[in-house]
Amino acid sequence: MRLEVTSECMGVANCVGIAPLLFKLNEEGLSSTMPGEVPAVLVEKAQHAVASCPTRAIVAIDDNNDG
Amino acid sequence: MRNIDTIESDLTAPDFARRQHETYRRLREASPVFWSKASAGWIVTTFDLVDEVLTDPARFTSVGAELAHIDAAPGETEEVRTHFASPQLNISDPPDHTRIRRAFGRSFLPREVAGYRDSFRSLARELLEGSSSEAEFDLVNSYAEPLPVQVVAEVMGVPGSLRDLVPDVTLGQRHFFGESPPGERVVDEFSASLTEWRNQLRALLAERLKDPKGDVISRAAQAVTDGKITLDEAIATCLHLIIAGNGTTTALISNTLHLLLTHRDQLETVASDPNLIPNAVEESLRFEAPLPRDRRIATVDTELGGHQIKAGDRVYAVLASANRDPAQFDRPDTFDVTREFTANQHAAFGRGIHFCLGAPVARLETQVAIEVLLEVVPDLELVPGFAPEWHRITTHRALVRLPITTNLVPA
Ligand code: HEM
Ligand code: SF4
Repeated sequence: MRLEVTSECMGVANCVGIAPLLFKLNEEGLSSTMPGEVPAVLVEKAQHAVASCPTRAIVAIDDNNDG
Repeated sequence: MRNIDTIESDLTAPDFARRQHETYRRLREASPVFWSKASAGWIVTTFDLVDEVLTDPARFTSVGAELAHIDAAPGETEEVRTHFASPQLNISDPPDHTRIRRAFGRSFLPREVAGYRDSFRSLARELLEGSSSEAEFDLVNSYAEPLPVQVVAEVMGVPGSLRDLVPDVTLGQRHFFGESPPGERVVDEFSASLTEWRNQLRALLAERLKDPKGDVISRAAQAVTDGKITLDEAIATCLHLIIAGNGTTTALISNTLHLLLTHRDQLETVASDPNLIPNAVEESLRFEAPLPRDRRIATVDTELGGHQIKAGDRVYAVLASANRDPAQFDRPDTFDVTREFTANQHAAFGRGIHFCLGAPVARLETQVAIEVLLEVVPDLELVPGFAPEWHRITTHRALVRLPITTNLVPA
């Protein structure tokens, strides 16, 4: 699973609170995410962050759909 | 030690407000998902379970309770029904919620809100100039109540001439939903002020579309024109915004001042290092959540913390209790302005998609309120013998008054 934060991010920082290892606020006060594959131990946190974003700005991309 | 059977009577006791944290602690320890007959709902009190309820809108919805309440009300309720039938943030779920939140979110980016600092400061100063020359005055009615009205009106772009009408519709709504069913007079009064506001907002939205000012109302007008939200959604959401920040921020400002005035060492720490004010406000939010509980309705039969919840059951997620959960915070019952927080660690603004849209406004405004008060009245003290009295409504954690003396030497 990979993560992407879209332009719908409004800097609420719920994601940062839930998974500080995956999300950080940048200088503009918007969320940016760690590039690359989400480590297996953090997948649950990533899903929790996706579900907690008020503007649904976090997209989870599953590369191996057949896995 | 009292056992769990007495909790039901403690929840409805006249002195509940005074003992709320103790009552919630017993619930957390004995039964964190508790069916309360008196509240006709489940009371959920640990941090993790509160979070579970609030981050799963498909299982626990924010939609539904208002219209049933309106249908049971006597008298003429057509305009009230129209108002609450149109989706607005706090009573909708995705996809409506996501669409409206995106349309309004931009105005509440922390970075945008920071631009209002000076304007909030002058509003606070103006209010204090009126009362601080007196040797004794009440911080609730002369400061913590009027400031949020002015601040939100400023951000929204509500003209000065309408600001006096904000308390009417705020109290009207509180009374309307505070009794079930509400009395005929309460219905008439709320319906009249709601209708007046909806007409005023319709006119303002049209005006700002022609002559935009960069405020929330102007942006909402643009979002209607762009087809992102409907006119009804714009009117309802703007009015909700005007109302939502009043009682809550009044409570936060007065709770924070009360906590500082009753913990003098911490007041001195903050006064000598104003950089600590934002942290003191976070600690106040954690320690005395201004909105103690959130309400949801279960959409399906489901399990929560080992209990079977039925579709249609009401569920109260107790933010005030989540914030005192020892699993989430060390020394949860200690008020400490130097406590180190991680982002959104407490639940005072809710969790998940309904996380308070106005949080950056509430935070900045309260920080400014403390800062300006300490500048203008550095020697403030609670009047001797003051004993806190809390409003009896369960929806807000709010002090009735906060009288202080100023020891000012008359000029
Ligand atoms: C200390 C002050 C405040 C507190 C403690 C507070 C608390 C909350 C909480 C707990 C929620 C979540 C409700 C839920 O989950 O059902 C919420 C939502 C909301 N608040 Fe606040 N609030 C405050 C100030 C404000 C202000 C100043 C505004 C407006 C400028 C505001 C506007 C809103 C709105 C629009 C929502 C709905 C958001 C959504 O459903 O997406 N609040 N607030
Ligand atoms: S929760 Fe959503 S809106 Fe908030 S910072 Fe994260 S991505 Fe942005």
